[in-house]
Amino acid sequence: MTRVRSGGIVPVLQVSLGCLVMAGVLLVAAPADAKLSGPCSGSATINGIEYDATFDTPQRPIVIPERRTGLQIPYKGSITVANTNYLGAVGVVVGPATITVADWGFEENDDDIRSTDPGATYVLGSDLDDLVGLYRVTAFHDADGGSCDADAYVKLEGPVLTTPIGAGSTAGTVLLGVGLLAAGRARKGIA
Amino acid sequence: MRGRPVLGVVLGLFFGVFLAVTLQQWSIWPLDNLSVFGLPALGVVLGLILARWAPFGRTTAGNGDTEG
Repeated sequence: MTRVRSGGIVPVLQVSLGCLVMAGVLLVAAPADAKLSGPCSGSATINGIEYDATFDTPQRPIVIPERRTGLQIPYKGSITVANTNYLGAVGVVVGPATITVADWGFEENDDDIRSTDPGATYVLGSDLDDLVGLYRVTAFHDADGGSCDADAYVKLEGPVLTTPIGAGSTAGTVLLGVGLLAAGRARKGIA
Repeated sequence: MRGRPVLGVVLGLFFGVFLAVTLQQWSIWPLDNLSVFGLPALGVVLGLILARWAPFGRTTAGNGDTEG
């Protein structure tokens, strides 16, 4: 017995087109690449590779190796304007939100130090040991003389399937993909 | 609609969310607005298309009956 459809294709098209338009807008609105703006410059050397502001796309990230605890990262940076009463922060982008992972300043100071010490080195702790994947990182530094903004992509190398998030998301994607096919299974009695 | 649109929307939404995290974990694309909102939206569209098309479980009988 054939049952007449009550909704037809129009509502499906409306919803589908709405979602496609939304996705299209997001595609257009997505940043083409990241950058460093303002009177600042800087770089860091990891495993012999010097990273600067040009490592600013998902295809060209700053790579942190799998064995990273205790990794020594020489870095240098400078600012060409008055660097007094500064403040700044670094954050990780998750969708529309940015999670601050480090900040500095917030107190009056008149040191006006405009460059890092020669031979400055950052030693990586074990905080990142359980994380893998590609992250977009943003940073800003505001001072009396001006402000800088930067963003870059950071790739934390490591075996994805040994982390809870990596294994869970991968398995979930496969299972949900299979489950999604069930939506395409014809219901009994509906033509 | 011959398939299961509600199932398609719900599973399509979660499929998109999980796919976004999976792409981030495998260092293919970060969790930006494009993946966090775009992939679930595309998952919903995919679910609705599958529900509309319903390519599985059809019969070739001409009387409109289908098998579950």
